[in-house]
Amino acid sequence: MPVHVFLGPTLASSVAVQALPEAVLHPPVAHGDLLRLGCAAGDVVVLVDGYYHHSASVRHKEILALLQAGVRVVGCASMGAIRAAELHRYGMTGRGAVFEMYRDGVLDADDEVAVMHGEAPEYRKLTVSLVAVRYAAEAARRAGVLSDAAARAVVDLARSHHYTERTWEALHSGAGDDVARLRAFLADDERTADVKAADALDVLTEIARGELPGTGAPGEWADNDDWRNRFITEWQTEFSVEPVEGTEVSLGATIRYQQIHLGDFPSRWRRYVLGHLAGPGPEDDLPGRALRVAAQHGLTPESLTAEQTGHWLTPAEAAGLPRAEALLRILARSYQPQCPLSDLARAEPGVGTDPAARRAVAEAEVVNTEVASWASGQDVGQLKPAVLREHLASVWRTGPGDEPALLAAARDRGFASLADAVEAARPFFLRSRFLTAESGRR
Amino acid sequence: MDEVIEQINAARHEVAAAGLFDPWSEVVVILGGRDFN
Repeated sequence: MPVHVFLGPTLASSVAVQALPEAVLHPPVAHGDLLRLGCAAGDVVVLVDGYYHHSASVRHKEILALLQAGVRVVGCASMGAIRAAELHRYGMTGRGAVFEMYRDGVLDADDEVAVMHGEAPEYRKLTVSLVAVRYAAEAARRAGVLSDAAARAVVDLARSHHYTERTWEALHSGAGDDVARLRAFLADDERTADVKAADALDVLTEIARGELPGTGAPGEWADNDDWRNRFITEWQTEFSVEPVEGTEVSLGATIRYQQIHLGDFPSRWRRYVLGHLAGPGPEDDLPGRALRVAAQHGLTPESLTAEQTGHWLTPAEAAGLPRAEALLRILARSYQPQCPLSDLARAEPGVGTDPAARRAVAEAEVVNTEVASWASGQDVGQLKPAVLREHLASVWRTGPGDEPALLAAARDRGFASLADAVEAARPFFLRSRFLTAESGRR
Repeated sequence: MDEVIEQINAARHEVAAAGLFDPWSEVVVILGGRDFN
């Protein structure tokens, strides 16, 4: 039974592993991480730290998905305490003083637990959290070290600093004597000095002893799928991963790779869209059935306006295509499904599972990591959009500078815009550009 | 994946010379690169 622990600056990894030797440590949790784990019933996930500023935070429904699957999810100390306070009614287990303060409404601001920190794997803390100051000041007040007014003043002072500037030194310069007394009080009491670390350590120790309370059973809400929405459906497809030679390859990335590179993807996309519009029926009459459904909604080949054809078709298409074909292309290009990845994975199962495509995605990941390691500023997120547009024009053979044809090609592959296609191409560009020629990769 | 790493390293000068990356976005990364938990 794996115990996955998402941990960053709150507790040193060496201390965590000492407390719970079987812990599988992960970086602070971010959106998608829980769904990538591939957890099964009986597994345990402990959320301590999580990103929620520069990366999308772990979503509540990602946690609900694990709870419904029978995974025990425990939160404490930091982001984990916040999510546990929000979801303890649904079976997430919260532990520790920070969790209790959020649950009881003593705390409600996310930045209570925020700290600046350095890079992995040390995650060296550069600032002190507001909740740590608050907890320590209250302990000092109870011990008679600080007066009520002084304890309140120290907390108010800490709150007045942005989390990126909230250091003991900064507080000392604002309320010297009180802060000096508080720090002296904390010098011999690590637990009171850092409530977040103490909470995290307690949870890991409890798990190691088999003392985690309760069952973690989610409750009646998990008996059906009424809680689900299109986002969790898409995320479970997006972040479903399988390893390829040691590299985790997601179904979402594979489908996006195919969306760009698979030669017959446009015909697959069109079949998928027209099938959605037309509903069940004979495959060979799909275009006719789709046109009849469009007509029921007042859209016919004859009703197409110059504005519509000008928006969705290239000038050559608008001038030369038969009207019925023009309408079919417009239907395929304008369709915006709610769950494109999940729907495509179901409608065209071979697209996302193609071994060659999955291998290409894994290679792209390896190439991106290698290139980024050469020098700063060479992350794929920093590739110039113009470079990616040129690349797409080359892959799709639309001709240099022919923007209408490039946009039409992007739409024929299910992209809502050229910008979306450019972003989708980003992770695969370096591999496609520099690895394909001599090795015969596509 | 060793072969893949070899191939991309062989193209290292070509990658550097191609002017693919935007230095301004690097500034954004540096300014926004600190995380918090």
